[in-house]
Amino acid sequence: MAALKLKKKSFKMRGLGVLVAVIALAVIFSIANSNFLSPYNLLITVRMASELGIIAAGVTLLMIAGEFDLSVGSTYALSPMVTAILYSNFNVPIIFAVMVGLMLALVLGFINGFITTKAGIPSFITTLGTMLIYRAVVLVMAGGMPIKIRSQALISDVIGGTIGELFPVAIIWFLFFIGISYYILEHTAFGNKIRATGGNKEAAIAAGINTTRVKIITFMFVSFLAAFAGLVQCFRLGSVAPLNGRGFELQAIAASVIGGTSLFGGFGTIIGTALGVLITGMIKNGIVLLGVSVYWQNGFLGAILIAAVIINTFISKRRR
Amino acid sequence: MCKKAVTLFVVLVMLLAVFTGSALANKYKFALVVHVAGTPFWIPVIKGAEEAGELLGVEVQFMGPEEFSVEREVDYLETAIAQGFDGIGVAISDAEALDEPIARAMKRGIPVVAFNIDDPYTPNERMAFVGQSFTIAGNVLGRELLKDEEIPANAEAVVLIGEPGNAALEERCAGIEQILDEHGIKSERFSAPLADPSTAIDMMKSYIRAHPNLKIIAASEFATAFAGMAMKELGMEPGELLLAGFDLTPDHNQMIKEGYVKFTIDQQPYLQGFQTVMLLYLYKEFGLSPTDINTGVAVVGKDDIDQVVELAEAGYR
Repeated sequence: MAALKLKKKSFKMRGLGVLVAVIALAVIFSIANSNFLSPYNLLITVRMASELGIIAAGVTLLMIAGEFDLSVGSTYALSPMVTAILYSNFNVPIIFAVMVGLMLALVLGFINGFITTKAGIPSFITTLGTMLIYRAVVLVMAGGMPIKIRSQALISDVIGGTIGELFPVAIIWFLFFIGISYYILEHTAFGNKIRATGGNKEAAIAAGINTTRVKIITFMFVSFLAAFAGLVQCFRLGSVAPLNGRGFELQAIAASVIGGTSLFGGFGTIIGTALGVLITGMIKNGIVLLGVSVYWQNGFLGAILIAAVIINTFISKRRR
Repeated sequence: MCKKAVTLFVVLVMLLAVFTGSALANKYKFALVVHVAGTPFWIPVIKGAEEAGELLGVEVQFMGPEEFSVEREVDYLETAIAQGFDGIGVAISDAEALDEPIARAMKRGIPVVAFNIDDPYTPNERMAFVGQSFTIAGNVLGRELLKDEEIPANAEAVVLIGEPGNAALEERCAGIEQILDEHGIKSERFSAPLADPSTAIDMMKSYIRAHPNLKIIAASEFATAFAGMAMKELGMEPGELLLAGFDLTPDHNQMIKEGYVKFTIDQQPYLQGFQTVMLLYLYKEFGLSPTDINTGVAVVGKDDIDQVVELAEAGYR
C-alpha cells in the first residue's frame, strides 16, 4: 500500500514537470510575440492539438496497459475514407456511413489486440504491420486521390464544425475524450485493471484479471478514438486524403511520454498527456510566431521529448 | 534543483531570442502558405518573395509542411491569420478545405492573394491569382511534345501526377490528355511521390518495364526527371521514349541536358513569389486592388537549358 502511495506521488511530480514546460513555453512565446496570448491564437493552438489529443488519450491508456499501437495514423485515414466513399460514391445516408466507419475501427482495433495477445508477439510488431496494411487499404480504396465529403447534415457540424464564428467543435471533442479516458483510468475498476496489466502482467493474472480481455478492449478503444479524430478532421476540411495521419502514431507516443507515461507500462496520466499534446500544438504555433524555418518543427518536438524523458527519469530516480 | 531549472529557463529564453531576429524594422509582415515545402520547386518562389520584401522593406515568412498535406497547410494558414500577419499569399491546394479560412482572413481585414494554385471550382474570397493558366499549359506541353515526332500506331502514353487532388496538376493533366486524345493516343494516369526521388525512380522503372507499348511520358510536374533517371538505369537511350514535364528542378534540368527529357515548361516561380508580395504591398500601402497575373508558359528545351541552368542555380528560375 505504501509502495502504491509513493508511486502516486511520483505521478504528481511528473505531471508537474510537463505543466512547468507548458508554462515556460507560453512565457517564452508571448515574450517573442505578444500575439501569442491573443484569444484567437490560443484557440488555434489548442485546435491544432485537438485531433492528436483525441488519439493520444487512447494511446496513453494502451501504453499504461503495456502495449503500443502504431496503426492509429492509418486508422485515422481509413475509417473516414470508408465513411466518405459510402456517402459520396454510394449515397449511403451520412449517419450510417459514420457508424460504419466507427464500427470498422472497432474491428481494426480488435485485430490488433487479437493478434498481439493470441499470437504472443509484441504489439509494436503487430501494429507496425497493421499500420502498413491499413494504409495500403486506404490508398487502394482511394486510388491515391482525396475523396470529398460535402454534407450539410447536422452530424457534419456536430463532429467537425464551429460554434458561433470561431470556436471549433474539435476542441470540445478533445476535452470530451480526455475526460472519458481520465474517468476510465482513475475512477473505474477497468482503469485499475489497465494499470495492473501494464505494471505486472503475471501479478495481474494471479489476481484474477483477464489481461487478454483488458488489452483487446483497450486496443479497440484506441482505434475508435483514432477513427473519431479522423472524422473530426474529415468534416472540418470536407475531404479525406489517403496520406492523412502519417506520423501521428509517433507524435501520440511522444506526447504521452512527454506527459509522463512510461514506455514500460503501468504508469501514466491522461492530464499529463493532454499537456504533452498541448506542447505539440504550441510548438507548431510557436514556430510560425518566431519566424523560425518550419523545418525545425519536428526538431523541436524531438528535443523536448528527449529533455522530458531525461527529467522524468531523474525525478522518478530521486523518489526512490 | 531549483537553480538548475532557472538556469535552463534563462538559457532557453536567450536561445529563442536569437532565433526571433529583427522583426521590428519592417513595415508589414506577409505570410506565404503552401501545401508542401519540401520540394526544390519553391526555392525561386521564396527567393522572389524575399527579394521583393527587401526592395519594399517588408518581412516575408514562408511556411508549409515538408510533405504534401492539405490538413497541415490549413493549420499554418489559420496560425498565420491568428498571429496578425498583414497579408497572406496562399497556394490553394484544395478547392474546398481552404475556402473557409480564406474567407475568415478576408473578413478580418487580411488581404489574401492566391499563388501557384487557384480555386476555379468553388466560390473563393481570394483577391487575385498569380500563376500559370494550367489547362493551356497542358495543351502547350501536349502539342510541343508531339510536334515533328513519329508516333507508332499502338503507342501508349502515361501522364504523371504526383499530388492527386491538386487542382493545378489536375488541370495540366486534363490539358495534356486533351491533346493526346486529339491524336488518338491511349493514355492513363500514374502517381509517383515528388518528395521521395528514389521511390519514384523505382516506381517508374517498374512501370516502364510493365508497359512495352509505352512511348510517351508526360508529367504535370517534374516527375519526368525521375522517369528519365529510370530510363537511364534501365539502360535505355535518350529519345527512346518522349518525355516532357513542368518546372526547372536540378534533376529535371540534368535530364534535359542529357536528352532524356525533351523539354520542360517553366511557370516562372520566381515571379509567383515576387508578384504576390508586390500585390499585397500595393494593396496595404495604396489600396490598389490586386489583379490576376499570368506568370507564363515558357518552353525550355536542350538548346536553352544551359543558360537557364545558370539562372536556376542562382535561384532565379
